[in-house]
Amino acid sequence: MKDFPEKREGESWFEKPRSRRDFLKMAGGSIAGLLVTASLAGAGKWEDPEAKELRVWAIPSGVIVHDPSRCVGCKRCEFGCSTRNSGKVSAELSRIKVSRNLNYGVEGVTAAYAKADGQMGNFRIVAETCRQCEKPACGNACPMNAIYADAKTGARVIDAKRCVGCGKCVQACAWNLPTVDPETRKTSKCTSCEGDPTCVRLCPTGAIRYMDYKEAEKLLWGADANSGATVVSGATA
Amino acid sequence: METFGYTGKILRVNLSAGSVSINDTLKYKEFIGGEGMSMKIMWDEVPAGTHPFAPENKIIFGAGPLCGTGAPCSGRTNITSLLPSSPFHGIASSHMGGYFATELKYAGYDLIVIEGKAASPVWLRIEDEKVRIEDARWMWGKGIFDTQAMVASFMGKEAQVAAIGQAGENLVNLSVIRTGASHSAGGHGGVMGSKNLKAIGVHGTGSVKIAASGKDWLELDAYMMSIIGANNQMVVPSTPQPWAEYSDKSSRWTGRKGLFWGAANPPVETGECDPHDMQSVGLRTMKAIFDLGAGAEKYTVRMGGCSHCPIRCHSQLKVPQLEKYGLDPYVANTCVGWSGPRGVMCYGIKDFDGNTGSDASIVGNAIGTTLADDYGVWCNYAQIGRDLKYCYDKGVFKRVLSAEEYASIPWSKLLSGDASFYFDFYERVAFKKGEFSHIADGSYWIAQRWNLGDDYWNDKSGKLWTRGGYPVHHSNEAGAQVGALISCFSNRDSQNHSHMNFIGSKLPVALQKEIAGEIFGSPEALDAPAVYTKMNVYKAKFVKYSLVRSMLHNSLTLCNWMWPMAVSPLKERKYRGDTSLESKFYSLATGIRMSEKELDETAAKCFTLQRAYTIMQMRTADLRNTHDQTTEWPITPDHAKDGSNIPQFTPGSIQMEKSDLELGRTMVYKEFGWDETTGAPTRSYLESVGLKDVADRLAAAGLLPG
Amino acid sequence: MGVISPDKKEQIAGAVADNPGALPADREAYTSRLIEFIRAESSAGRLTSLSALASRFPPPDELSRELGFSITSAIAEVPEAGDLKKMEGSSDAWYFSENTMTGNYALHLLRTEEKDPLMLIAETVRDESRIYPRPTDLTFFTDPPFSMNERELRQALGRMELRPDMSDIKRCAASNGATYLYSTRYLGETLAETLAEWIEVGQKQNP
Repeated sequence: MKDFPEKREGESWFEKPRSRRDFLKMAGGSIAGLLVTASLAGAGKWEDPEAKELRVWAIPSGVIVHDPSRCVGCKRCEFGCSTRNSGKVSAELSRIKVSRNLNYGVEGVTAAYAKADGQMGNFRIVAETCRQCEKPACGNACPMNAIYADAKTGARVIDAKRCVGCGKCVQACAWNLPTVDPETRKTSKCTSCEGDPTCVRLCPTGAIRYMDYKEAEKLLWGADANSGATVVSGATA
Repeated sequence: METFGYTGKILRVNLSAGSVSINDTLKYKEFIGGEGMSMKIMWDEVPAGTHPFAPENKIIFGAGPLCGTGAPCSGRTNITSLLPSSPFHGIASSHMGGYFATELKYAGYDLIVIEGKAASPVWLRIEDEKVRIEDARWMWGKGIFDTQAMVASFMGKEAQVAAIGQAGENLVNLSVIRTGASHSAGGHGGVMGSKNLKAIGVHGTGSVKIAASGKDWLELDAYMMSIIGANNQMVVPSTPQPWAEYSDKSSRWTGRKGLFWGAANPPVETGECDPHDMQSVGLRTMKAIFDLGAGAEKYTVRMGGCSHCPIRCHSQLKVPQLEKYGLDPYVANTCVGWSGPRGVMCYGIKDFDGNTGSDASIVGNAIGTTLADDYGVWCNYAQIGRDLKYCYDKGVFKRVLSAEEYASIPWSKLLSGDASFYFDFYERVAFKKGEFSHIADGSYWIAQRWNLGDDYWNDKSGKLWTRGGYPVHHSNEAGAQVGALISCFSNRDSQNHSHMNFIGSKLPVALQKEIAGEIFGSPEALDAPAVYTKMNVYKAKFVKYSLVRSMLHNSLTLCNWMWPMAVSPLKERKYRGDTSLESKFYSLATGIRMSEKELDETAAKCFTLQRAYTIMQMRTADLRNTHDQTTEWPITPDHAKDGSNIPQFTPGSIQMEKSDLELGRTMVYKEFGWDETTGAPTRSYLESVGLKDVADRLAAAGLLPG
Repeated sequence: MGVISPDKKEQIAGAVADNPGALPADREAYTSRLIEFIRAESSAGRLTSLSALASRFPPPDELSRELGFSITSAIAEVPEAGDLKKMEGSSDAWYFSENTMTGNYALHLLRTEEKDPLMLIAETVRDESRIYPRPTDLTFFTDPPFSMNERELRQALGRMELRPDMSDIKRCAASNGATYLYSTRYLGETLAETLAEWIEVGQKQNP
């Protein structure tokens, strides 16, 4: 019995989807119509009429949202996250990813860098954060069933005992957010720090918020899902 | 073996041989890291008398044990080498902020030591343990922004890059090494250029290990964040705010209601940043209006800065008018990164080319800063603009330039405040075009070449502090003899804010004096502004603290524009800070327990090593008379309107007095344990700190006092 | 420790003010309402006058008939309200909470409320000359929290010249034309001029 969605013909697990539409195609469904209540703790399985097995995931209560208009690129979030969650300081292991987009944005360096996102262009810093997806591709891709929804927060967390560091979750994630630690050979991902995210606490401009999942949906999945520019934040927590 | 704080690896690059190797960092542990270790390596390996542009010179990019640990304000890179603009090519350090040092640590290195000279232009490519020397022929000749993009296109978007521009390539003395959008290290660009080294790209996927538990480390961070202030550890807002007892319009804590990052989308209000609110620390310092005036608010996209710093003192602007001049509209910098280029327009920037009022000032300044940052031209802490003015006003250019060259320079633009003058100026300087370009040789060399005479050195408006050819940088106007003496001990402008981060706190003077008493032993360590008193031993202790902490910060590395934390913004702490924080962070990170005093004494040892090297270079132990003297104007009394002298130490005067300053030197030498006559380190001090070999070498050269 | 956003502070202050409802006859409950209001206003950066308390929260008859009852004494008797401070104005008294406002800032507000611009200027200048010490830039008074208009300021300065009790307040100027005031009780002319010049010109030349 398989726990992860079948790969459709012609698709590759290694192709990063270019749009949310692609992502949803790969995840094998759409967000609408697959809501489950929080009374289903963890995840269960049910068979859908099309004879595909899908895990059912509880909705998280909160999710981290990053605001590029307020982010100042200090990387305190990365330091705090990796220290708290990996016991060592690293950009690579941080579950919130700022360093990768700091200089040249999500798209990376092009000849038009001077006006594109990033410190070397228009100064805009787009961090990539775990969306705690309702149908987590990471969780559905894990061959070891090591990813589950935390009972308290619903965050999709990795059971380190089961994880073998295969990296399938990394590849499955549209943002390649989980990270395999080469020293421990375990993968880590954002857990929302049990509902009190360290990145939120350490951000010196309030650019990172821990929001109600439903409220955050339009910021994380809106027409310009990476921008967060629709967030008008207060100056204080 | 796991190392904490340190990675344990020094990367050695020999460009002549085209080889790389690894050394053990911990061999140099007693020199802390960064600048301290660099001084030791230079002492051991680069003979005094080496020319900065010789292959035998080394250039050392230093991170320290705290870089990459997330300690607040730990992102700076220290660069130590011989300084081309110094009269004796003095050993000196430059510093650049940004993210380079952190990335270097994540790649697994504490320092990079570069020697030799590549046969043709190269760049150094560091990706974790993979280090390669790559062909830079297509980068050579490019400006710094394009160079960084080219490196990133090879290495990936995460790479952090240190690069020189055309100025460094052409061995201009006043040239920089730059990283990121706005971070410059002044004076060593030509050293990289002389080695045919165009850039260093680093990408690190590793981590820095902390000896303490993650929980303890985060707790220490939280404690520090609770007492951190704004830029330069100013702890008082610039406007009256309900949470604050005090306010000061000159404060860098400019955040307030109705002040925005105006070009952010949507605009971000800085607001009233209560010091207990950890999510507004980065909003306190709206530096754009501080550096560029109120008109800069609408151009400000955000504040930026260095790795792991919550303060964000670099203003990042969008200035669309720049496109008209073929420049990109985004420009960033801080402090003298703006005012240095602005100083080149030494008669001011006025309305030009349709730009008017404060817009003209900002657009004009932005042109200068962009060009300086792309060509990689240094300003010698804004001295280049003053030298330009002096040489124009006194007819020096008329004298030393050919009639043809003189006529080719658009002086009318300079005089009318037309900032398009910058295009001509920076091109000449970066490409060494003509006799005029020697304006970027550095003040000592200009004075030599153009026979500028005593008038030049003693001109008060010229602000030259010593005959080493560098200017005031928080000198007599900063704590009387404290600032004045600090400025005498470096081989470049002192780059020292240890004293400023206390003197400039903006707290009432009486309160500051109380705190000074607790730190230095007496309130007499600190004079009220323009109410100066004679030299005393407490001021000498303040000087030593300042010099030592600057060396310490350049070794750990920590930003000396924020640290030490002598004060805090908290009324409940009676505004006291915690000067033991450096040692707390060091001890917890490395597992090497050092008290505040022990760490300071270790940094004092490193500073003494710099002193010893300087002696070898100057070939005299009598640093008092050959190195530590000011020019005349700082020790000349002011004149009243009727022409009579206003004696030093009259309220209102900030002038120093020669014999008083000599006493000050003696007191500072004593604090360091150096010879009180010459200011040279003694054998007994050197041996007491494990530097017997240094004493022996100085003695063999006849340069050890007594 | 969380800090409430400015919008939220205004919301709270508004909620407390707009819902006096029926004021409880119980002394403790009534006083709590007052304390809550003062704290909310203070959190929003405002003082609360005694007269405003009396009109917004008129004490129920049962309380006002009590011997010795006054709003002032009622508040003063509450041990948990130690953070509330009272300042005496010339014709009213003013409350703030030192949990959210410092005494120095409250004093700025009090002086503004007194509607005596001459005293506001003179006393503020004296404080600045004494505390820091430094001369005071005229724009200090046209900016928040005083927000005097230029005409008001000019008139006040003119009238101050005629007041013998304000003869210690003098002017000096920096070379860029900025005008400063200082008190000769605490600062000499030369020092005041030097400091004004340093603030306006010198600091920018020594970044």
